[in-house]
Amino acid sequence: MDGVLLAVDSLTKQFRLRGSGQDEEAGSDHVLRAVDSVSFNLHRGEILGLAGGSGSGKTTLARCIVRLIEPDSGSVFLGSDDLLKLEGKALRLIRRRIQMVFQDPYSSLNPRLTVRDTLVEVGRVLGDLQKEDSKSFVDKLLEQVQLPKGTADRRPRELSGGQRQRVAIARALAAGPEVLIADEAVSALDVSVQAQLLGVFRELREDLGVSILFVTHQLAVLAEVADRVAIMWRGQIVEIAQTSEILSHPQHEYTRKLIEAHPFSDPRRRGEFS
Amino acid sequence: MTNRFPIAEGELITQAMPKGQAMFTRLRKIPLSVRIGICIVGGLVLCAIFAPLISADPYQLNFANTLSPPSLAHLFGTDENGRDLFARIFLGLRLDLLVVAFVTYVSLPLGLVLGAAGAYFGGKFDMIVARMTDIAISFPFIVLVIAIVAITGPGLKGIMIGVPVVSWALYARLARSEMLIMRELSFMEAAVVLGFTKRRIIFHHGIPNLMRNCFVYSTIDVMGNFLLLAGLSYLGIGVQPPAPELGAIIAEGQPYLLQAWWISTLPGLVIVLFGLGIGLIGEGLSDSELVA
Amino acid sequence: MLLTVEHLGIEFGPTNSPLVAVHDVGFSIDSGEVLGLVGESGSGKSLTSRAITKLIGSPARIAAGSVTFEGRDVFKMSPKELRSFRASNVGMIFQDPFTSLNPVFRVGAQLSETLRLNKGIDRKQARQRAIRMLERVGIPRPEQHYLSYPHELSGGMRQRVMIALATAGEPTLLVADEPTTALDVLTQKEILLLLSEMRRELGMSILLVSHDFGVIAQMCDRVLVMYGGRIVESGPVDSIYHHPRHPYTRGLLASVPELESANVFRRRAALLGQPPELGILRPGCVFMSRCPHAQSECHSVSMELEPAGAIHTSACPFETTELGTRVILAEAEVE
Repeated sequence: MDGVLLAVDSLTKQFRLRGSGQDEEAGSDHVLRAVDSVSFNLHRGEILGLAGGSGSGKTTLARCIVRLIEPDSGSVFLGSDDLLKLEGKALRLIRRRIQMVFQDPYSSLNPRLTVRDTLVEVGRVLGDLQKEDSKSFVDKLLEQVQLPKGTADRRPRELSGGQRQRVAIARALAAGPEVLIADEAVSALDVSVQAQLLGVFRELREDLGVSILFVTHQLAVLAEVADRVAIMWRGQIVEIAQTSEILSHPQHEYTRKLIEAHPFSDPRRRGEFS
Repeated sequence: MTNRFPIAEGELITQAMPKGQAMFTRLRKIPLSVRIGICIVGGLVLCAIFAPLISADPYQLNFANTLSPPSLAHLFGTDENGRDLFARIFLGLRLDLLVVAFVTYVSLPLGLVLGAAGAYFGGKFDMIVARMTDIAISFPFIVLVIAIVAITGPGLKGIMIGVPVVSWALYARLARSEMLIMRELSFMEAAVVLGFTKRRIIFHHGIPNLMRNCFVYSTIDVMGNFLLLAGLSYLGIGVQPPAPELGAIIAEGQPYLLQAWWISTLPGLVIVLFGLGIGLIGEGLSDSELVA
Repeated sequence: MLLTVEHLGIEFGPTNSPLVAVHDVGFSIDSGEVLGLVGESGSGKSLTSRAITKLIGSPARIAAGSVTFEGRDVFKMSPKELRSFRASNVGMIFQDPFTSLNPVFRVGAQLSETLRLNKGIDRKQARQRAIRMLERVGIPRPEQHYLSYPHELSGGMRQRVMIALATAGEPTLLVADEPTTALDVLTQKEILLLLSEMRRELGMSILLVSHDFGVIAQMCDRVLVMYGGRIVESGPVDSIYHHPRHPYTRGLLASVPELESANVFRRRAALLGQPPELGILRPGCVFMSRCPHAQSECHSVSMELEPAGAIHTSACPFETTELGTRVILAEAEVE
């Protein structure tokens, strides 16, 4: 783990709410600070977890970083370029370096394209993939996500949720990113499939050196993959440390609550659930 | 299913079928109603194409043989001028089909693109498109077409201009509402994150997935336009004589309804049959997975 | 026994070649007991839980088996008996409270309507009781929230309303199908706590369906592990966790993410492939294609739970290496 690859500084995003309901989780009446001046660094080759409950702002933060949502202020430095200050072609160029994998496997792939079409499109549009190289391009990507070669000619409807997520990861990798943001990328999968996908993410870091920002509401998932974990609460990062450190010596009240709420699989470790 | 166990990581669920077999299987899945629809429409279209080859000259006047009932010489009988009705009807059908196809399938892409682009870009552009759509749809359609015909004079020109002016809006509305939903889907967002241009996202990812509903609707539109054309010709302000047109022929046969029922009835039947065929296809399309 | 389910079968599709979603499922629940049903997608656990109140609708159908509640055969009840059964003997809560609550009615109204219909009390009394129930399930300012619509409430609050609705008739059995899956972990804990409290207060038994073994471990006395529509293992939750006998159970437990792994363990995925899709009934073990110990004898396994009559049973007749989950964790590569 070397230098800083992604530096987020004072990122802020607020939403205007029209008349809050009786929702006790909403912020103040008229303005919701979904992301409240958040700063953190992602190091090269690191897997950084971003955890928090619903309404914590973690998904909004992830989307602000890739500018799916336009943040109100702050900066996102990828190397020496501030993503938030670029537009048009320059922005599209830098986007290749930071990709995203989404939560829902069933809407993450274009249903009309085969896996091959999806991957080749990225290669052609972002790079200058030539026809004669496209087969090896696709084969290599599928290998990186541990899918058999035959997957290339399938359409999404022929694939299971876990397989679709792997294709989504392959598509992200086709852009040649340095940073991968996994936005609840395993949350919609069965637990046995989830474990496989976590293995894929770890190997991507090991073999390709991709740095990963792993967003999830499940602390235990981060315990399995993340080197460091940042805890978000009400739009702010309240704690950030090595995974084992945060779990064994949580400093913030919210982190403590999250840990206490984790239902252990060992029935002998019953918390205050019953 | 495989006999090998345990299944390797990421193993595919179904066996891949060779490409030809996959196409054949999809064709076999076409429901009966759609097949009937295709046969009907296909049959009528073939007749329209080949009519002049198998029948007499539709313009040939023959006052010796007026108002004669269907026979071997004249499959559909003759009209008040002795012209062969079979030839006239299918020549008329050919004209109708060409005009209707043109008008419908010019409106479709126009509306589709405007609606999809509006919904995707949002903001002022979308607002303009949406308002234009609302205005076009709220027009009393037939009145507008008649007004245009009043300007251009009777004939096809009026219809070919008037219909697309309004028709595009229905497709735009369909495409817009679908795009509003579609742009939130993950693969559309992934395209943004990948750095694809908006143009690529709309045309390569968005529109192909929106097309199905527009095509299904177009079958209804085709029939609507057909009836409009036939109706206007019936009234005398559409296709002008001596060019044959189904609605016009019906009008011509009206005075002779009791003596020579075939002149008005047969073109009407052709219209109904066509409507039935198109309707069956449209319904089948909307239910099935054929249009990917 | 409060509830006994025997040889339950649920199918889809043509009757001559049916797609089997649940096959030969049998279990019982005692008074005051909490039984867990754990499994991944396609395991049939949700359908099984709905069969208890005969909530199986087209295109699914109950193909075989019986459900006996306090000596009464549920499948043989008349529509009137069934309604009364659902109203006062069994309560049910689902995963997404948003679709189980009617979005156009205020929650208080839905609650008092239930009370009036089932208890035959008048409007005013029903309203008062409804407000008390809302308070009982932990909803703040109950008189105010009585007037709320479902969309005005957070997920956790909606689930509490669901619990109030389900327990309004003071049932002896509560069936909870993934009650906390859509909630975040803090809200999940509150809801599970609430369920436990209500259970003690009303003396209810609970059938808890979940894909999350942690939830099962914290709440249940016994657990059934389901896979591909069958029960593959059954027993006390402690025994199942520490001495899992079926290869699927072991694989499942090894896949569950644990806080202990942090910066210490890097576990390899224990199970390859994915859970099965709905299909026709095949002979042999349902887990065969994914089992690391599979052999040719597995084709003729009957899926009977053995040893018959024991407390902890498994559908795998073979003696595969006896491993507890803790041992699996320790075997993983250490960083």
